[in-house]
Amino acid sequence: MTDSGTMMPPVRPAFDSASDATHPAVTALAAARLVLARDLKLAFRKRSQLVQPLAFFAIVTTLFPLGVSPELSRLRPMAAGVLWAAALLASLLALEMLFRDDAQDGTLEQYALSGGSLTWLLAAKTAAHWLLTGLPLALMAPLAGIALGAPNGAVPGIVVSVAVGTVALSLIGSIGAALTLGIRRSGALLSLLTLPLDIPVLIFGARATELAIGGEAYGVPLQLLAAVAVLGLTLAPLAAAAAVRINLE
Amino acid sequence: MRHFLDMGGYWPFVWPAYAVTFAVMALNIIWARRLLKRSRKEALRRLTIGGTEK
Amino acid sequence: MAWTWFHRLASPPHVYRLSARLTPWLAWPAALLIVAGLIGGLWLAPPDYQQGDGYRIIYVHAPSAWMSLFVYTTMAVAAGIGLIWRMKVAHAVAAASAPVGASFTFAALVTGSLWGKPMWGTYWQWDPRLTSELILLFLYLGYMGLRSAFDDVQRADRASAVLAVVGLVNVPIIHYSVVWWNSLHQAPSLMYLGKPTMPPSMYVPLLIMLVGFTLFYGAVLLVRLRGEVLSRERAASWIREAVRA
Repeated sequence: MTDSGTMMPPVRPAFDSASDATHPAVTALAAARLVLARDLKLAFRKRSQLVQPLAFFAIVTTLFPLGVSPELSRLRPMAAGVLWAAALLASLLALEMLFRDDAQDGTLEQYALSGGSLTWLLAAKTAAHWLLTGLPLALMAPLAGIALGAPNGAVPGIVVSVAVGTVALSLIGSIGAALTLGIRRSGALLSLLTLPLDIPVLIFGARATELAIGGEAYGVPLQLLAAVAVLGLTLAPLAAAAAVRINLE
Repeated sequence: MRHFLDMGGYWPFVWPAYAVTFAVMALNIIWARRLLKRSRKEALRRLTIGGTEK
Repeated sequence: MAWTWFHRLASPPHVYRLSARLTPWLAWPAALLIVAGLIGGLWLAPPDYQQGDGYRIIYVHAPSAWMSLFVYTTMAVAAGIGLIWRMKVAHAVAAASAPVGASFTFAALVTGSLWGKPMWGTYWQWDPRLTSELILLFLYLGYMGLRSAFDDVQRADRASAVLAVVGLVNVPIIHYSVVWWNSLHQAPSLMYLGKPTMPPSMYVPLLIMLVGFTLFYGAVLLVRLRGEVLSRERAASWIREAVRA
């Protein structure tokens, strides 16, 4: 299967394997892989959009030393909470874009009508979203952590906890994004829907990061965080697919 | 009676708690009735419009 | 044969008439039980040996907290039924429940904080129950916000139903995580029902209040349900008789 996108650079590449999706040779998984590749390619065409959540994350974490105190000894105890609140907001900011363009240009409708599994396609879109926001956030979080007084030894713990936590955030967020598809100026509503559902992620994630910063074992909260992520992995794409169908009807 | 109203000195907490709860209950009754009344009016309006169009 | 009751429950005119007929059968017992609970709780129950008369807030706080969860569960189950069987009446039940649940969640928060002041010395503490109630209030607000964002009732029904079901899956996780979080940071609070042996003169009024509040929800739900059912029916012939009646 060749890339259709490279043939028409100025236009958003259509998911022209929609016809292929009904073809028995293209399984749900293969179609999902195509969607993932397409979303990643599209995102790298609009680099500024990729950078925005990261810049937002950096700014929010900068606000705290300015608002509280420059002393690392005072910042260190709250570093985990600051990191997680900023990560939560940054991933929320990026969520609005998750389905928006595809809903507007009809791609999502094509997916729904393709006869393939919408659930898998949305799972792929969410995976792309995580690769583009969650993973960079996880890689950036230690920098912010160190700036807030975390020791160097905490870096692996921060990366792992933020990486696992953002998987759950992207999944939970995909439900909210799918539900608010048809609503104009949905930003505030999307936060109101998504943030309460994100609270377990915040609690377990911040705890894991806190323990990592303190140089303690963070296995327990990390496992709980992973459990939330796995539950999200199994249920969120189903709910998101139901929500997308409702909004396309 | 005075003793009862005083609630062992806890009256500033006990009575507002009861007041808020019963205010919420009263509001629920009012809202429910208003919703029903409004939907009835709306349904009647739709019916009469439908009737004149026929 | 066995399914006829289910089909009748799905029929809007039947539900409309049945709700109208059942409302007084719930409303009057609710009123009686609540008055009885008030007398029992405020007069007959003895003061607590630790909290004096301050503990009497439990007779409105605990039923409100119970309502916040019970109504949410009912709402989400009704929404799920509405999604699966495409049943308008079930969606109407969910829509009718949300404001009731949200208002009692608010009451649980206010009464909890009023209870907290004499017990903790502050109106607000990040106690697991109060925190869970606060998050539950946000869940209700999100549900109602999503519902009101749609112009089309059917789309609002189905989209908010997905949210309600997702919320219901999340509620136990949220509660567990909040309790876990709280246990890390402070000793468990002794405020609620911590005493292993409450004498019957204390807990019987509480049970009466719980049943009374639940029946109250039933009565308010039935009135709201009629309104919601009407607004979901367009130009059906039964409406004329129902509205005139």
